[in-house]
Amino acid sequence: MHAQSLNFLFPNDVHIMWSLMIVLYPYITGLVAGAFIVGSLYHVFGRTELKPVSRLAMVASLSFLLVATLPLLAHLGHPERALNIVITPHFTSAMSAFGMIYAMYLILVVLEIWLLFRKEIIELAQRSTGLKRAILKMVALGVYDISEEARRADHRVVKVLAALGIPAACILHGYVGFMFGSVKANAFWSTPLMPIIFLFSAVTSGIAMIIILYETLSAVNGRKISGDCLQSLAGYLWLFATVTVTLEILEIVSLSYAQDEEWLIVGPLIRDKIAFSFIGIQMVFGSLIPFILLGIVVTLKRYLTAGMRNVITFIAALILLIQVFSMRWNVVIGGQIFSKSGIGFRENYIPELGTREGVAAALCIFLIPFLIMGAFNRLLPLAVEDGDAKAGSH
Amino acid sequence: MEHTKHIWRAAFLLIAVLTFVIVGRHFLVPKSFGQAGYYRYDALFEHMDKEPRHGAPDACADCHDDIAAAKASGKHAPVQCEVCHDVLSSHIKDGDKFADMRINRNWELCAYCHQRLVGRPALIAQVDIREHLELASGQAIPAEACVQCHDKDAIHHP
Ligand code: HEC
Ligand code: HEC
Ligand code: HEC
Ligand code: HEC
Repeated sequence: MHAQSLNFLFPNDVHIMWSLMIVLYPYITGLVAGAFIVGSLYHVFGRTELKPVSRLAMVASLSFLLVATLPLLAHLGHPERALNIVITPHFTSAMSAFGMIYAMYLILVVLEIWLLFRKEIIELAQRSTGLKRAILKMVALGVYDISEEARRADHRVVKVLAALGIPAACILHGYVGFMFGSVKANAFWSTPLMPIIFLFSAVTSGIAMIIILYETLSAVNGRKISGDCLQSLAGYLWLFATVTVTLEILEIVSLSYAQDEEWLIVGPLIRDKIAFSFIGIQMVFGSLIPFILLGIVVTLKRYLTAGMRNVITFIAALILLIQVFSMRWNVVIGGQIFSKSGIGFRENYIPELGTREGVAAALCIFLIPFLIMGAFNRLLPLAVEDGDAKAGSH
Repeated sequence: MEHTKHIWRAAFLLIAVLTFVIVGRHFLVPKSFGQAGYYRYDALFEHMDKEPRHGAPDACADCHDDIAAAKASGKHAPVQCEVCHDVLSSHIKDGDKFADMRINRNWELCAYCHQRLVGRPALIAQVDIREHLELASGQAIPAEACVQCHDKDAIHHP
């Protein structure tokens, strides 16, 4: 060893810096993108059977979007500096591109929701008095026009916005995968497949979340669950979950088949270090079981009663939400357990309970979107009225 | 066309908001930003105005030449005095000692570099602390464990 200065950096590469919050962040943005795609299936692609969840999906997307940055802020040492990236964005920085994509997407979703709920906002304004009325009138931008023509114009704009929203949602989440995929030094992350895997698992988690929200909302409201809608959601969930898991497996298989030097560290990582969360939770419990359950719902639908189908789909959706979370966990935490030099492993990461980046804070952040949705639902019902059907352009 | 009033209003509102953001951003960008690159140029001078806290690698040798010489010929040669003790400015002001220098006898200091980690390059001697101290399981590590055997001469000249 040379008698040069070790300075004050030695030793590095010992701690797991990206914590539970960095696991939660792609999970929440994934739900944003996934929920939006479900909404677009109705608004853009005319899957009319999805009408009962078309509003729910948009509001869910917005609710998750509003908290998407909170995990990052909780992780930052100086959260108050976060705005610098927006004030002086550098166009070569993927992180600052996120600020712009986020803002653009937020505008799109808010506009779209405003148009979808304009009739209800106006009706509510006409029913209420005083300050509430004044505020709602402002929200309606002072126009109380709910004629056929106005509604048709709304639908046309919604269609355009939703169409623009699809690439925006895909970029919003593809970007998250890109962030990991572009870390050259990390053998487990550095693959161009990363954004695609993230995107597909985002859609999977979004559909699963909408199924759970829809069934819960229907139970709370005492409404009947639309069989066509749930059957169709279950089909899409099956499709996207299958593609997601296939991609996840392909990535590992190509690493292991090529037997490049990174497999020397990624292999033991998967076999020993994250065997439980990767093989156990992500692959077997999280993928195989829902694959079978949804397979039953999709292929044997003639033999299932509506109640059985709803329960099976609900369980499969819940398991897939866990699967996607464990995928985020395995990528973020698993990618940090081994030394970047490939020389060996670190201590495993166990999140604390009460700290700023701990389990309690993560649960609180994850709860907020549901509170937002609840409050929204109280003011403007998320369930779509049946009588509304003819007003739709589809 | 006549039933699209609200859409035009929304579009107008959007343009107003975007204009407000673009103009507002202009006022939020720090003054010297971009003067010499993509950063706040004044930050350089704010940092240059600060008193340095660390000394040069041989800053301690002026007064502690015996220890410095011992260290330079031992295995701790690449480790700066300030890593184990504290920054020069906590001890010396205007060329004179004005406060005691910290002496850290805690085992955690040594463990920071010598604890066995699989991810740590083998060229740094590593010990399993509990094994090295021959502790029974459950027995706490005494605070000044390492300096009991590795005394100051051994530490400055291992
Ligand atoms: C590897 C860590 C380490 C480095 C590097 C180091 N020291 Fe120390 N030093 C110690 C420890 C630990 C003690 C206390 C030893 C004890 O009391 O057993 C100590 C004690 C001292 C003392 C007090 C001696 C006494 O007689 O009580 C002086 C003075 C000192 N160091 C100066 C220096 C100087 C000057 C350098 C750089 C040339 C230096 N040290 C580098 C760890 C270090
Ligand atoms: C300008 C001279 C000077 C310089 C430079 C200097 N010291 Fe000292 N240091 C002293 C004097 C004088 C003492 C007290 C003499 C004694 O007790 O032996 C002392 C004492 C110490 C002690 C014992 C604890 C104490 O404060 O009494 C340590 C440890 C120490 N110095 C470390 C350092 C380290 C590390 C550096 C470099 C970062 C350093 N010194 C630089 C003059 C200096
Ligand atoms: C900043 C990192 C650092 C700290 C702190 C540190 N050391 Fe070291 N130590 C080194 C390095 C680097 C070497 C030289 C490489 C080697 O031989 O292991 C070394 C070498 C040694 C050796 C000789 C090992 C051999 O190869 O025979 C001993 C013994 C030792 N240190 C003990 C200690 C003790 C006791 C402490 C706590 C007072 C300590 N070190 C604190 C970095 C450190
Ligand atoms: C009971 C006395 C004793 C205590 C206490 C002790 N050591 Fe040692 N240590 C030794 C001896 C003796 C050697 C030399 C062994 C050799 O050269 O094989 C040594 C060697 C080392 C080495 C070099 C190992 C190598 O592979 O070359 C390191 C590093 C070291 N000790 C660190 C520590 C640290 C850190 C502590 C405090 C947690 C500590 N020691 C406490 C007696 C002790």
